[in-house]
Amino acid sequence: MGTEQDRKLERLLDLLAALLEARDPKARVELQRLVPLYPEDDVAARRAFSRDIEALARMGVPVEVVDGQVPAYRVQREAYELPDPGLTDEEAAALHLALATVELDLPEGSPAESLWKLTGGAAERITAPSGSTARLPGSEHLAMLWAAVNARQPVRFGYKAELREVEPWQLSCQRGHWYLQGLDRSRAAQRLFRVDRIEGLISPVGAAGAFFRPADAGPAVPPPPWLLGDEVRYEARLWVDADQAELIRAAGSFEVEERRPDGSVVLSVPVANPEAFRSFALTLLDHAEVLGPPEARADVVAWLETTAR
Amino acid sequence: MTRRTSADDRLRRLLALVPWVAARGGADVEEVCARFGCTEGELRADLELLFVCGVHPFTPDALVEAWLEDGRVHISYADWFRRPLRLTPAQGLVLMATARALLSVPGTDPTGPLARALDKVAVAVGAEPGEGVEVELGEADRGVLADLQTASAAGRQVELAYYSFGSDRFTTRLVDPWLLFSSGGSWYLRGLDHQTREARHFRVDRVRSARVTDQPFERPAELGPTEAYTRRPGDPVVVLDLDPAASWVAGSHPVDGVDELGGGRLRIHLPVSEPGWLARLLVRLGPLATVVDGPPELVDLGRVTAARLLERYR
Repeated sequence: MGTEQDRKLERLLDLLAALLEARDPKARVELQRLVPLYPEDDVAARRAFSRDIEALARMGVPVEVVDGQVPAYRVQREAYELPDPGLTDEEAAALHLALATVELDLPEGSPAESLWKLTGGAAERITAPSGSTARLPGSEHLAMLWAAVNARQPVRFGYKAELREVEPWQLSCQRGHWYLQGLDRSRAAQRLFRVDRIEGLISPVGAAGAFFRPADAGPAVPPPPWLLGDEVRYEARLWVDADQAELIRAAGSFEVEERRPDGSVVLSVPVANPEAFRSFALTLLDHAEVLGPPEARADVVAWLETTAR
Repeated sequence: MTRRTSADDRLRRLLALVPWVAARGGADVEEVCARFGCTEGELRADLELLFVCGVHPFTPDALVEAWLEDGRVHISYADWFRRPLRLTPAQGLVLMATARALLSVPGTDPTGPLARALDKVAVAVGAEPGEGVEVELGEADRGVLADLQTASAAGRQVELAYYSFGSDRFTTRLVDPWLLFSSGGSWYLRGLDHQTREARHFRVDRVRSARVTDQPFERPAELGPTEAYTRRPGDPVVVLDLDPAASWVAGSHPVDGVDELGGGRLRIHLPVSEPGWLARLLVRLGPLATVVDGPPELVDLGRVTAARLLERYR
C-alpha cells in the first residue's frame, strides 16, 4: 500500500468529517483550509477536490451542493446516518442467508457492504444452503427507478422511440425480466414497461412526493403475450393433450372449457394478440390444436403452409 | 491476498467498521477482520490513518482515538462516524429484492425472521414495507418445487416424471438433486441423471411429479454451471437468417455470432442443444426465418415439422 493511497484516504476521511461538522454549506476554498491535505497548486487542488466529492457521492454520501456565487457543500447528518433497523441476531442471519442465496449484481449495490452497515458483517462466512440459489438479471436503470419509486418522483425516459413521463409505482421481476409499473402521464393510463427496453437516460420531472400508487393498481405482472393488445379479439378454443395439460395448468391460469376422457382438455383463451397466440399454440407442437374460431384456425393453417413450403 | 484495495474501498470499510467497534466499546481484532473482510495488517494501516483523522484545528480533542492493544481494537471520539452511512439505492434494492425473492420460495415462513428483517430494512432504507418491489423466481408447481427442495436438502435421490422439451417426450428419470437454482425467470434442478450418468439441468416447470426416494446420494464438490444453457462442445450449429421482426432471437438465445445483412436482417450462428427445441423455434418463426446452413437433418427441420403439424388441420 503506497503512501499516495494513504494520503487520499486520510483526505477523504477529513473532508467527510468537515462536511458533517459544517453547520452551513462551505465553499471549496474554506473546506481546503479546514482539510490541509490538498495540493498547494490551485488547479491540482481543485481537481483533487472535485474527484473527492465525486468519490463520496458515488459511495452514497448525500453531499448537498448549494449554488451561490461559488458552490458550497455540506452533508446533513440525518441524511447521512443509517437509522438503526434494530435487527435481532436471527433476523440478521436471515438477511445474510438471503444475500448468499439470491444474486443480483448492480453497480454500487454490494451486498457485503450493505451487511457491514446493517449488521456489522458476519463473524462466520455464511454460504447458501446446498438446496437452492437464484440469480436475478441486473440493469443499469434499476437503482435510479427504485429511488424514484420510493421518493414518489415522476421520471421521464424514452420507450419505443417515444418520450414518456411516468409516475413510477413499483418494480417487479417476472419471467427473468424487470418491469416498471406506473402511470404513463403522456397517455393518462397505467402501463408496464420492460426496464431493459428503456432508451437512454432517466431524468426526474418536477418534485418528489408528487403521487401515490393507487391501492387498486393490481400486481405488476405482465399479462401473457397473447393478451398484449388493445382489445380481446376473440376467445380461442385450444385443444391440449393430457401430458401438456398438466404442465400448462401449473404454469398459468387457463379456463378449461371441456375435459375429455383421455385426459386432454379444451381451453378457452381470450386473445388480444393473434400472432402471440399462434406462437404459443405452435410451441406446443403436436400436443395442441387450435379448434376455433375459424379465423384463428385459418391463421395457423396459413402460417404452417408457408413454413412447410 | 494480492487483491488491490483502493482508497475508496478502504473508506467504505472504515465508515462501517468504526461505528460498529465504537458502539461496542472495542472488539477482538480477529472478529473485526472476519466481519469486515480484511487482514490484521490492513486493519492496522487503516487505524493508523484514522488516528490522525479529525477536524480543524486537529488538537487532540478534535481527533479520533483508535488503537490496537492486546488483540483488541479500540475506537472512540469518532462522533462524526457514530452511525454507518445509509445504503445506496442499489444496495437497498438488492437487499429488498433478494429477500422478497427468497420469501416467494415455498418453505420460507412468510412471517418468519426474514419477513420481519425485510420490514425493518424497508423502514431503514425509506421504502414502504411490502411495496416497491416484487420478485417471482419462476413459474413452477409449488408442490413439485417443495419436494425437490426436500430431496436436495435431505440428500435423497428423486424420481422425476419429466417432459423433455428437446425430445418432446415424457420420461421417468432417477436423479441426484444437487442443487435448485433460478435463472432467467425459471427454476432448474441440477443433478446427476442416473440413466445417462451425466450431470444436467432439468426445468422444474417440466417436472410433472417428483417422488423423494430413501436412497442417499453424494453431492460432488464441484456442481458445475448454474446457467440456463451452457454450450456443449458437440452441439451442432445452424446458420439462420432472420427478418427484422424476428431479430429478437439474436438477443434471447446464446449465439456464436451475429452478422448484419442490411435492411435490419440478421444472420445468426445458433448452437442447438436439442432438435425439438429448434423445431419449435422454426415453426414459431415460420417465414420470418430461413435456415441457410447446418447439418442436413436440421436444415429441413422447420419444413418437416410444419408439414407434420398441418396433417392435424386437414
